Amino acid sequence: MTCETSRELLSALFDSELGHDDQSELFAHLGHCPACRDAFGELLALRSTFCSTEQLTAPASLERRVMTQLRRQESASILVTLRQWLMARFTVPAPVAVAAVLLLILGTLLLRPAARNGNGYVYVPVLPEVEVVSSPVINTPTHP
Amino acid sequence: MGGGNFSPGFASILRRAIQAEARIVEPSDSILVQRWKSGDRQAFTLLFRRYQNGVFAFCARMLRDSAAAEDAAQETFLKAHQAIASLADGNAFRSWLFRIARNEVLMALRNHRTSALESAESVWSDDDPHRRAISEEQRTILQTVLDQLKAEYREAIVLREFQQLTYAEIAAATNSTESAVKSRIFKARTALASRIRTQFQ
Repeated sequence: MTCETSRELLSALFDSELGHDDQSELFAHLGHCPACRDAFGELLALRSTFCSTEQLTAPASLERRVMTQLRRQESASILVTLRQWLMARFTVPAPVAVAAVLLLILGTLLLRPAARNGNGYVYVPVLPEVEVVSSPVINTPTHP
Repeated sequence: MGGGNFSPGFASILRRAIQAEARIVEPSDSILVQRWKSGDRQAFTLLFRRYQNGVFAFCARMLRDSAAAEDAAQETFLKAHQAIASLADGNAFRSWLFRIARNEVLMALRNHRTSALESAESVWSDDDPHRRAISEEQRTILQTVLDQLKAEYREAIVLREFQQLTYAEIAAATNSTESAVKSRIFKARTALASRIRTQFQ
């Protein structure tokens, strides 16, 4: 085993991630390698330094921010659900909607303003103008 | 031997002890994730309180900025809340959560400065190693040299030393392999030990 391999295994040993076979090989190497034993001491010191390093804690504002944001998202989600529910209940099928629009357009064209009849739109066909000729007066004979 | 052999006083003490024990034992991540998935807000709150310090500390050590770390931690929990249904194995919650946190950190690094995750031979980031004042205290030195590590090494050692994640969890959180994690942690430790030794000489 090389010293490079030995030190990588040492690091894994510190993390309890070393298999039994590798441990045996490592301990055999450490038995006759003072440099790797020194490296072991350095790793121990490093671990001790990590342990003494101050633990960072989240500011109190983090929980407040997260919970507030979640409440907002949930409110928005309720509105979306409500809209979906309404749409599912009252949605008009596309062919019916198209037919309704077409009928609306057709109706608008037919009920022209010229045909207005005071009380609303009433369909009055516009007939061609016809010259009205006055008919002769027929005098019916009267009985004496 | 039946419970009826106990005196009423002893039985009462035993009952209270069992109840106290039940209160002390907190539900596992897996159980809380199940409850959370079924809409239990309290389960989310418990998991949030369990991991908020760890996620914040990870973000802070990676971003070196408390305000940015708080933003990243907030986004981590909100995204976790949105995506919890996609987590199949509740036992993998911890690595899954830190994976989200890591993504937030990478996004923040991309938005605010050049990412230190670009691959290179060196373990150290491109920051000037003498830029930061070096304290006499060893732990301050440790933090200083940690800050100088490239992000891929720093995230591995921070998740291992401060959050006690296993190599498998770190690999899952960092989208890597266990052997790569093992190698990064080893190189990071070697570099840290060497730099600390130099600082004290």
